[in-house]
Amino acid sequence: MSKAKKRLLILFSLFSLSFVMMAFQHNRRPFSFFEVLSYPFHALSKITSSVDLKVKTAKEALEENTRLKKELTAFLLERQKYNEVIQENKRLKDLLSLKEHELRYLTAAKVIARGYDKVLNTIILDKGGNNGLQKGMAVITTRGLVGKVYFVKKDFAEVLLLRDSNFSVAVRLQNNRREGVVSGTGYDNCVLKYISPEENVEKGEVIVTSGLDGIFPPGLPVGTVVKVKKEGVEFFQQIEIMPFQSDAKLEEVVILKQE
Amino acid sequence: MIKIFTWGLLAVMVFIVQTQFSFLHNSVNFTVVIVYLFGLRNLDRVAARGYFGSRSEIETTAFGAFIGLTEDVLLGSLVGPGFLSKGLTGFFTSVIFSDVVFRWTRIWGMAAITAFTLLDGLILIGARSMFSDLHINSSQVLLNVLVQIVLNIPFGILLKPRIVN
Repeated sequence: MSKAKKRLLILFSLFSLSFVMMAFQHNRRPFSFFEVLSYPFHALSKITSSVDLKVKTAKEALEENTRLKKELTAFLLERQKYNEVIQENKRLKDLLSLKEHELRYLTAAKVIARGYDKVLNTIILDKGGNNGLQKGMAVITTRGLVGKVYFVKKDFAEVLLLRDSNFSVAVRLQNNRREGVVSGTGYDNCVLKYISPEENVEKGEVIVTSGLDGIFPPGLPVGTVVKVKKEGVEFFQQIEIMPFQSDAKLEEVVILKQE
Repeated sequence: MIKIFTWGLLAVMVFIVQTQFSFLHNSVNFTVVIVYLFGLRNLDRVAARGYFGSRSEIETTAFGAFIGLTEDVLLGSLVGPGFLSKGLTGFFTSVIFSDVVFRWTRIWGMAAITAFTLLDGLILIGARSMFSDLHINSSQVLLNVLVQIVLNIPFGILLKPRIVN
């Protein structure tokens, strides 16, 4: 058989077979006996679909996780802001109550920085001479005495803190009514001076300003007695006090007018 | 035996790729490419003998027809169009580049794969129109075929017989 005839035979077989198959299926279901060919692929397809589904699910979960994390971060930040506002609101309310009760109330101020002087323990307020602040004015919070205005400029002022060693205030033991002077030490605790050994001073006793120094009004809470040493002293007891207002937690303060 | 296994495995991989991936919402048609490749590889064997024998043509046609038949069955509709078109692809691949018709060049390779992909699409439309009651949106199918051609053209350029005559 010639080459051309063979080719024609191949083509004829191909055409006739396919046409017979297609004509047989006309208006009928496709051949079911060929379906056996598709079984391995269906099985494989099931596996790949399952893997695909799992991968898709994992991908979606990952995307959702990332999105939710972002949302959570945003919510946490927002909540943090709200908390901050709530805290500020509480502090300002306290200051407002101080304004109502304290006759010498001048103004409230925000603490904007720690003092630049490395030797002194000071803070800087956002109000100054323009707001009526003057050197020597008492600075307080609802907890108690903070310090006194030490340096005033037009728009800001510096406050010498209670714990600075240059600071002193005339005080009185609240129960004992004995007068003394509280001085800063440069550390967290202050010392109560000029209390004779005969006086009975208990730990935990509250100390308030006496007003005898002419700077601070009487009755401002200063701190509590934390340590008393009578033995081995010559003239006065060594009394340590812990101020009520820690200067590490200062945010807003109130400045009192001088008499 | 190894040859059958290799080509079978390759065909399975192509089927998987074809069923799992699409391009711009158009199905791909790499089965044409694999039949074409089979034809080209058979061409080498035949060329080495110095003539183009009918056995090689039968093999290539049978391989194409089998691939087409499997594809038809997998599609789950009319069995026959794939059988015919892939069979023709196999047959013509083994004829056109080895006989006196053409010498293989990249341009002819590109033209051949374009023609085979188009032939596949046209046979599918024709057969479905003639032997099936299902409506076929011919323009949509032709657009799909066009995309398939674009995707297959690189294979037409890259795939070549081992011995280029």
